[in-house]
Amino acid sequence: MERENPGQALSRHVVICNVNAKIPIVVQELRAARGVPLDVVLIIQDRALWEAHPKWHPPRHGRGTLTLLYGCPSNRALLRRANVSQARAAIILSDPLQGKEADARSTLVAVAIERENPQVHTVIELILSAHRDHLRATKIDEVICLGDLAEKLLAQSCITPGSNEVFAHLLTTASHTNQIFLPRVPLPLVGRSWRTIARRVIECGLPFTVCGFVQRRHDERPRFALNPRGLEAHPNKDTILKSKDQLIIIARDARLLDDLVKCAGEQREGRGIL
Amino acid sequence: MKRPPLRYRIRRIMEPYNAEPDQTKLSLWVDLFILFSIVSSCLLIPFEHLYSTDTHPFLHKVLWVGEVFFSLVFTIEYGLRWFGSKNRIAFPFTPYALIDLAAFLPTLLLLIYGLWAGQGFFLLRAFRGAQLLRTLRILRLLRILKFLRHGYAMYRLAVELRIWSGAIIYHYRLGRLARLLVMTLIAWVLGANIVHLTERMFGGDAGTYADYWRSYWEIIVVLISGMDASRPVTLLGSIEIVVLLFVGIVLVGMLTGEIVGVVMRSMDRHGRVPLKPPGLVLEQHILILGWNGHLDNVIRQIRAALHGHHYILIVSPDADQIPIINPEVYRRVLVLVGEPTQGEVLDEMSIPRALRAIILSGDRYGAAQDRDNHTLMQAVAITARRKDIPLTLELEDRESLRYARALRGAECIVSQPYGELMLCQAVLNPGVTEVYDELLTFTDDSSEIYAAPCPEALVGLSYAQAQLYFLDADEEALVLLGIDRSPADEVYTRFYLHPTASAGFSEEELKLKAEDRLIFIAYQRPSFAKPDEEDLWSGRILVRP
Repeated sequence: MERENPGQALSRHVVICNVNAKIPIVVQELRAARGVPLDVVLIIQDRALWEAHPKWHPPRHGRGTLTLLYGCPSNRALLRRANVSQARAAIILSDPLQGKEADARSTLVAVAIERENPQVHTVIELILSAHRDHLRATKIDEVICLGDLAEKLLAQSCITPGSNEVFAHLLTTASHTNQIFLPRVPLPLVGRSWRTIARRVIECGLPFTVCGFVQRRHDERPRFALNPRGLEAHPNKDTILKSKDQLIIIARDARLLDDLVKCAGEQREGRGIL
Repeated sequence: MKRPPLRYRIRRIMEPYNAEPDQTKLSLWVDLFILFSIVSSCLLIPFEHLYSTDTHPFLHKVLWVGEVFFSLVFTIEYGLRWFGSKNRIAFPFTPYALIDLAAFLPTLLLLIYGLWAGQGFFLLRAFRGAQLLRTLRILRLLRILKFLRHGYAMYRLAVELRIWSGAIIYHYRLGRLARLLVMTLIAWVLGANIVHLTERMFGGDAGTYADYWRSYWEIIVVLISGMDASRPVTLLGSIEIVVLLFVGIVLVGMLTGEIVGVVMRSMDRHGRVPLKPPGLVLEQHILILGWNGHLDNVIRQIRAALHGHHYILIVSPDADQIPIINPEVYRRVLVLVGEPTQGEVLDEMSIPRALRAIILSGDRYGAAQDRDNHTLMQAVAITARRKDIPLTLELEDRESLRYARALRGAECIVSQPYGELMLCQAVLNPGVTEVYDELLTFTDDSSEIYAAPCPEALVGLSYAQAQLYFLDADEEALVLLGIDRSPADEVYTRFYLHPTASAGFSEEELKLKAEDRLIFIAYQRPSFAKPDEEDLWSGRILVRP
């Protein structure tokens, strides 16, 4: 369903600022996401540009609603109309009208959104990888730099031919492919080590891999432990996971973690231990 | 980190040094000492045969002490290698072990025989009865073969030296300076002899030039400065000196011109990547065709992945303008100016000896489709020279992928689809970009995805058993992700991530086979899958040295 003005306030929706050639796929992927349908609000920076590129228009039908707003995405009134204060995430795409200098405007849009709602998960598309460092001072949550991605993929492909197939597989959101998920440590597994949880997954024969964990402590940047090392490293395979920590899993569906909880529960009942 | 077992540490010390993270500098020193011992002990052998024991008894005593010392070194080396070997039963029968044994056994047997016979250590004469043992000592020459163990390292060193010296000779115009030196030498010797003969013939013993050796001094003064040189006594001699003065002016002028040229060129190219010397044949290098904003980060990534142990050659019509952003990163980077589709430029790239080739999308070719067409043409040109070169193309338009499929073995990166998917995943799984970033970045502290042959010990076990094995192996952090069962020349075309019975795999399918490749998340290529010499020589596998 597509509408040009939000008749009612949306919540837990995704706001996309600026349009470029990536729009159809991004909207399509978001609306195809498993679970609750996602509503998308599109803030189009230039009506003429939008109308000149019909190929950019996402399919009209799909799960969730698609709302179109026209105007400058850093405009406070427009952000309020998009109900950013209730949004789950905001994607700021680079403006093709600005060419290679689009990063400055994208960053300022992200800052404006963060000011409206500091809780929103902001994802920004950057053109030049050299600008990535400047964004550390802001509260932007994730930076996707196409250039950076291309450079790393080129190097990976050069050193380890074929490895891009694995990345393409992981990045695709089709139902038969795997993705990386970062779910919270399920309550019954809080207080266990990464090694114990990984062992249980293997012993229960569950079709996903626990590759690591993210430690979240108060007033600290999250610590990513992908492929944790052995004993004397910190954090390591035997680090005890707390309720705020996240697991890094590669799976077709994050809900597979429920199977682990179920399996662990059954084992606890059977053997008295996890 | 937990300290690995002594046996493992000794094995890593005794293995040829490759600057791998778990190899210490001690390994390098051991290698150098062993190489020194091999050279020195081989040099002793001809001396023993050139000088008789009867005429040079002291020399023979010294040679014998040296021989005993080196034999003991080789014996200890053999013992340590045996102790640290993975399979102690099979070790003595390996080719390297047999060569090692031949290096010290003849001397050791002679020594034991001497002690048993109750003779002094240093008196070879006393062992005349042991003719057989003496003859066997000729086997010591086999110790030259010990170099084979360090064959790849020595080959790399030779390649490095050749490329480095080639670059130095080109950069400082040493070839032209050498030619100038030869011309000066000829003018000097000829001039000194001609003037000397003229003076002797027509002026007798009078004058400075009548003295043969003195005339050399005088002529060099004439050639270089012309000041304070003695005047010849004959008219013909004076004419010859005038000619030599002109020759000297020309030579000094040329020398000054060359030096100024080198200085000017250095100043002109300061801060820019050095040019590849024409005609210099590169080896085991990485080719990058084209230049755009991604170049710097691609070089950094490759350098981080290979610790800068391979030369990188950038080929582009405007390659001479590429700046050095970080001298350390650009230490082994050379540029070749020219259109990569031209025959002469392709010849200069040493394509048959290159390890990999990357073609970057050229910024100056207009629309995305034009850029892709140019990239594809370069790929065609490269593969026409060498069909099996591992090639990576940067394309901009998804449509181009359909044509690129015709290039067998070439990998194409169109970054836009990855970016679109990553944007969505960042919304759906907050924080996930950090994980991808770690997986995609080459550093010693980040993990990447590797595929390695299934270790022999795991063949026949189930996938779950292998997972548990790696989970408990604390000395090396590895997460087993899946199995790659694609043909050897088409890796990752048939792979399964976390195959389990619940995902529909049969018990037989879950059993690991010898031809399986395991997919890991690891900090470096798993230690059990070290590439063999052939892999390294051919460049099939690139490792962080």
